[in-house]
Amino acid sequence: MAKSEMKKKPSFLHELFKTKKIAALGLCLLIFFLLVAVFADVIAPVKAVDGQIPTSVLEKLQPPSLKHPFGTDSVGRDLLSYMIYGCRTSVILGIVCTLLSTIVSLIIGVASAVIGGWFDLIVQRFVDAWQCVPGMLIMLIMMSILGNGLIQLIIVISIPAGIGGSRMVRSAAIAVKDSGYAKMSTMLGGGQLWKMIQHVTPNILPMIIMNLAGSLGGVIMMEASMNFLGFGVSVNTPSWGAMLSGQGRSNMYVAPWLAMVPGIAIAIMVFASAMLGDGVRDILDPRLKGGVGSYSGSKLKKIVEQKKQDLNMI
Amino acid sequence: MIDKKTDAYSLEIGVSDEVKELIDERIEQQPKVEKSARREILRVDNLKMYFPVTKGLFKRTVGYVKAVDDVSFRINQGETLGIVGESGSGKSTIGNCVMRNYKITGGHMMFDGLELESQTPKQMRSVHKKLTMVTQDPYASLDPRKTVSDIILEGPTIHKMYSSKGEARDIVGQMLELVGLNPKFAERFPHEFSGGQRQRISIARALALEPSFIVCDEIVSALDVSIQAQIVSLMMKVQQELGLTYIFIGHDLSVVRHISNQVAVMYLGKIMELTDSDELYNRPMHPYTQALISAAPIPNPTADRARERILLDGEVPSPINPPKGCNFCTRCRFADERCRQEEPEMIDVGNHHLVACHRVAGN
Repeated sequence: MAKSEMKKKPSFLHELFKTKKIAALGLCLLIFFLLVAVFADVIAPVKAVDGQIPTSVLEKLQPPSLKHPFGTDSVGRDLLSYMIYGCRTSVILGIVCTLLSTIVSLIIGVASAVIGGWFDLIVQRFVDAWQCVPGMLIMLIMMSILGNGLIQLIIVISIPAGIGGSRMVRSAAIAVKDSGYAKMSTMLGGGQLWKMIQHVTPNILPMIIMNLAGSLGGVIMMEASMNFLGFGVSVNTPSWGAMLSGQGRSNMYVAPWLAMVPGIAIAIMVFASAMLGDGVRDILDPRLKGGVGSYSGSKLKKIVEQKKQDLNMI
Repeated sequence: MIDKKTDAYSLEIGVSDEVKELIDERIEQQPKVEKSARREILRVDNLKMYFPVTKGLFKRTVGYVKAVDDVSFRINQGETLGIVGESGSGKSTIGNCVMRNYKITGGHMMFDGLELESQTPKQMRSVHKKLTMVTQDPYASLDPRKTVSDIILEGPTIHKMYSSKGEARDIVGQMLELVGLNPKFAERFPHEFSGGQRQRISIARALALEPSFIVCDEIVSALDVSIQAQIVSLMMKVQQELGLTYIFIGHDLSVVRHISNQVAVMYLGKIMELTDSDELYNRPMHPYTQALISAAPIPNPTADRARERILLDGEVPSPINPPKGCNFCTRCRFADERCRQEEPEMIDVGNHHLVACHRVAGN
């Protein structure tokens, strides 16, 4: 039988590590944070009791030392242990919220664009109305209805963000659904759902991924401000945002490490996710392959040599 | 006149034995019909497609663009209807109406015993297995994020036409060979191909459905002349091998003549003349057709210079406000009072030759 020779596509991870080194670094950093979050009980020098770091008033506001590598805060908690436990809240919240909000905006935006007509009109007016009310107000109202807790906080942060983000998804999806190939899928007998999943979503994915990576930092800061207002996970549960906006801010001149350590940690995480997002987008979009900087100098020569050899073999 | 059969094969692309076997298989599946007793597969009666022209904040309808106005034709299985006309004459609209991309304003369309206009979107999905389309722009019609194999398998996947990965691979290999592409291209992306190759992929995607009817909407207009010839002869080869029926929309008279059994000449949403392609080119009756044919170049300079050239004055009138009477009366050199008042009927002047012109009717 005539067979099309399908050479195996290089696996996604393989390609990521080989061609997008910085993105791979981002992935490693995210995995590192995730591992820290999971094994917090094992790693932390000072173990938490009932989810809280033990305080000791005698050791308050100490600068970094061998005993306390990151120093201590105003109630004498070891900042390293606090950061390790805080990683749990921040990483889980950050990753889950960005994913959930993206999924929400993807479903609303794509369905609204592809189905169109009255459905689109009604959904979009609802989104408009939602956008008119200040986000923080909606979150506080939802929080006071649902009560404090991690799951509640995830829902409260991601759903409003998802509804807000759906407009951007919709505008991108409208451009794709009117393209020749999306129309063609109908003429081959594909339904609306087929069009949404097979054509519209993959073609707006690069934009979505970039957006997803960018919103991770915002989510962590949002958690910090919710914490600041007393609607966070719980007032005493460690989290990076809480440390940065609470103790870090009030003791900035006395103990700058209290603001610097969580600040740097948040920055690293945002950087890691942005770089990963960038790399993933490049790999997912075949048109961007071999862009600027991909082939240069020795690498280009190697590719040319390889091609020449291939030609000789034929 | 060149014999079409030999001509189609003179530009043939090499086809392997496997593909020939597949083709034989599929030809056997087709009901064998003599040319004289060919079955009518598509019948369009009084098709009307008016697009509303809206104005103001509340989208008041102030008028209609009569893109297709009262068009009727029939196509037999295994034959090709060519549709020619200027831009804006409603050629593509007819194709899109048949594909049910628009909600038609009026008329009836019967495809293979099914009343097309009354099919629900869900029913249309199964109709599209037999009735599909190849579009004009080979750059826009292929999803840039899918490989050639994904693109070709789109139809078969929707209609669950294969059960294993091996079968899917076979379909892709056969289709690529059928359209004259290397099966090795299966894992490439559309942006790696030229326009002609992309149009072949587009055709392979339509053929993978094993359809019986394809609407070819200006499939060669975006291509180079040399590639046009390849694609047209590919379409003719596939038609002979698989017994397909086409509507071939184009504005190049010689290309349409080459592929079509029947040709319809359209002007401002109406069919002006409809007859067998040779009859049309040898004995054009409608003044518009005569002008069109006189404008098409002949590849013989002496003959080209010697023949009479009919020049049309002015522009095509707006389809929002077509002239009263015959649509062509504003530019027709024979137009008289009757043409400006009365709309001509389609009349059969014999030899399956239908013309909508008072002058021809009067003779």
